[in-house]
Amino acid sequence: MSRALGSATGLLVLAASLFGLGCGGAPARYRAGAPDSSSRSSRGESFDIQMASTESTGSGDSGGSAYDFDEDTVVTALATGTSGSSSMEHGSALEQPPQPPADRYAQAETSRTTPEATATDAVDTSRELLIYTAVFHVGVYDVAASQALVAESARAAGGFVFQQADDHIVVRVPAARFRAFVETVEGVGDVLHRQIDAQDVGEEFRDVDIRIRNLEAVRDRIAALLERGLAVEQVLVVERELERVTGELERMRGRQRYLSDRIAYSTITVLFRPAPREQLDQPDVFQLPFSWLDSLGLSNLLNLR
Amino acid sequence: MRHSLTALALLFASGCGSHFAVVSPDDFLELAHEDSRRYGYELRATSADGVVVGVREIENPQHGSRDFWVDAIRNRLRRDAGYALIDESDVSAASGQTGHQLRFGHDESSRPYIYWITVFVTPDRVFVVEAGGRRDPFAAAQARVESAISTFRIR
Repeated sequence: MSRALGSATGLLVLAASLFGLGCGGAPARYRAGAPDSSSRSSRGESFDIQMASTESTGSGDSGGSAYDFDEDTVVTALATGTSGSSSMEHGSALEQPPQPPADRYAQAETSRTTPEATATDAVDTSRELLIYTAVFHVGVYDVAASQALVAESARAAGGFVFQQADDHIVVRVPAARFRAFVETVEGVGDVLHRQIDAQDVGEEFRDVDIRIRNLEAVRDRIAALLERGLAVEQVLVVERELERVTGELERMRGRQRYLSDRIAYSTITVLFRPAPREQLDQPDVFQLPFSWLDSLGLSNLLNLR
Repeated sequence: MRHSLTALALLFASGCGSHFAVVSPDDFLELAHEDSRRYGYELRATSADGVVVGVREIENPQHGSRDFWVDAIRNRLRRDAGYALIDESDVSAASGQTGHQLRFGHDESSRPYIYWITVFVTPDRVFVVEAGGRRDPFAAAQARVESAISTFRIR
């Protein structure tokens, strides 16, 4: 019995060391960077462009469940293929999206051969890997027609409607069409405020890809142990480790699918409402001392009773 | 009707302190003065299908310029209220002053409305001529509204 326990302990150490060799990475965390530029047009609408990059910290934490992402919820939703949640809005997807590279990767996984394909096979990692997002605040006029125009333009660009409600629409278009689509939105109505972000996720993407390949190697080595005719206790220990490694592997793949999808398809949100004051660089209490200005508008003019 | 509103405006000019005159659009009906004053207007007139023209007269003790008031109104309606600015241009009053007209659109209960604001400024006063209504009726009345605004005279 003690011999069996000793063997099991040895296997555990072996498995742990295998895993530690393969995925001794540090937690990767998403961080938004500071705006690098902003401007304001002469007509008073504000315009922000932000560029951010993800960071991989090098804490040297080796072994164990070292993968700690801040957007697990989103990752899970996308990894399971359920209706997604964008980073800005929550709701059900309206249309079946065209198949992005990430989905092609997912299909490739089901019939994988050695060496296994990863999302890097679908995404050109030799170039900058950027996630583009844009948020527009547009004047509240003829919203239904404006939404129809945005949706139609997105489809024409090879994209799809991700979310739609009375006062907003979220569309996703191929990244290559992002710039042209932004110009389209500019013509949809009176743009009161716009914010365009480009987030560099190249470092994180490549890091995740390496971790996946390492985890796959660890998983295969652990699986090979199971074919050695181990004792029941040993099998249980090895299977536990295999389950843990497989779980981490799925998490990494989910993250990679999420990144691939966000890289391949830019997200454009059009909100038919004024931008919050903080986005306009106006103090919350800013108000001209002329109360009659507040009484302007259709509601007073058209109130005839 | 046209003459009665002109007379009313002139009456304001002499008896109630108003300093403008305007001819209301054809087939518009003037509202009782007290009903207009309740909402800050010196006068208002409406068509049968709900297109309304109104005039405000505000004192300008700090002598704000036309550009100041136009910017303040534009900001108030666009940034704070979400009105869409469709067009803007200078206009002339019948009395010779140059004013500025902002043409907005805005959905009310998910229906599109048009809302125009024409601003004339003198050193002592700001005159704001507003016109608005559902988009289709407003389009039908647009020429009459423009004609009425062109009769605006500062006294």
